[in-house]
Amino acid sequence: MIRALWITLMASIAVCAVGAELDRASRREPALSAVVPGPFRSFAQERLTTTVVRSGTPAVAMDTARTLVRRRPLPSEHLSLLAIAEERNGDRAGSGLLIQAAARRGWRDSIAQQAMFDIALGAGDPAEASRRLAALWSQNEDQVPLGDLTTRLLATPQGRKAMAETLKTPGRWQKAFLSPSSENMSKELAETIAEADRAGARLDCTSLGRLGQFYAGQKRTDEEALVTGAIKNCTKAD
Amino acid sequence: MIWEDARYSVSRYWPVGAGMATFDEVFQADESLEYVSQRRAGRAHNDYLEIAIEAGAFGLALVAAWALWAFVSAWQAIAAPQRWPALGGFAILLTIGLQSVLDYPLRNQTMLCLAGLAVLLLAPVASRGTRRSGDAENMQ
Repeated sequence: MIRALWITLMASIAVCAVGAELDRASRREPALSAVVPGPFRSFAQERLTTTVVRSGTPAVAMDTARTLVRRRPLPSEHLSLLAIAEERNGDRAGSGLLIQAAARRGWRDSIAQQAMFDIALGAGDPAEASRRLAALWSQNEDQVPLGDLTTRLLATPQGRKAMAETLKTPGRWQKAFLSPSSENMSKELAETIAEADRAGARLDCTSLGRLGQFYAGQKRTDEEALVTGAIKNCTKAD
Repeated sequence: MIWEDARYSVSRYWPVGAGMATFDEVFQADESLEYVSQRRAGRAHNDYLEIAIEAGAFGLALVAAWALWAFVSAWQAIAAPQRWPALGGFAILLTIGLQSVLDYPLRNQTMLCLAGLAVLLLAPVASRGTRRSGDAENMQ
């Protein structure tokens, strides 16, 4: 009897260990998600939900997303996935609340940051919108229309002022924000840099130098002059 | 940079902690915009901070208990005949403890085994010391 109990205990531990390790491995190998047994799905549930939430039926998407949030409630991305599922099931108010909750959990979730950018800009809060835009630049994801979002914020004097204020606080996102790219080289950007400089921001010399060279190469002398003015007070990165 | 935000996470979940292995998820919510980049901080690079976030006061108390045991055992070993292996074990544990300020050596399987070996080197001397004092009391 004791022997049988011992063997059962060892077998149970082995099953749990295999299930948990398969689940962890699915973090690096997404293909494994499908073979992780249901009760052990945690990281695997995230992979499955990401796939199902947009392509599955609304009911299945909701069920999968709810399971994910129940099992791993902390990550912001999981609340965003549940918000998408809610939206697909017609609950726009619930979806909006979930997105706002997701946006309060850090700066990395691009879905939540984009949503909060839109909400803040629509509500006339450019300061909040500029912080969300900075968060999106920090991740610099290909699928996020960063140029378009930046243009929208910098289109108004209030938006430029808010972005200039945000630029006063140093951050790693600034390197991406100030890197020359065809989609982000408006005159408004140069004006924002000049305004940030006047407000006391100390921007990275290398980034500003590249920007100045870009404007010079395009023969945009006004923008070049604005950026060159900020270079006088720039700071050298460590 | 990680430590500054990690200290805030500690205060948020003190004294119970957020749960073992939750640092990765918990920390993302408390990161400053200033420090956010495309790279994620999967570890606090200070095991004491990470334990405080994950296991709270209980985890730190456990670490303190291990440290106390190691110091007392090493002290007892000084007078023992097998002091050098025991002190060697203590030196390994001390090094691991100091490296944990900047990194997370005990979250590496190989280092965990080495720490186990160090405890084994230290433990017999400590237990012999206890037994010897017990014998002395019995003789009286």
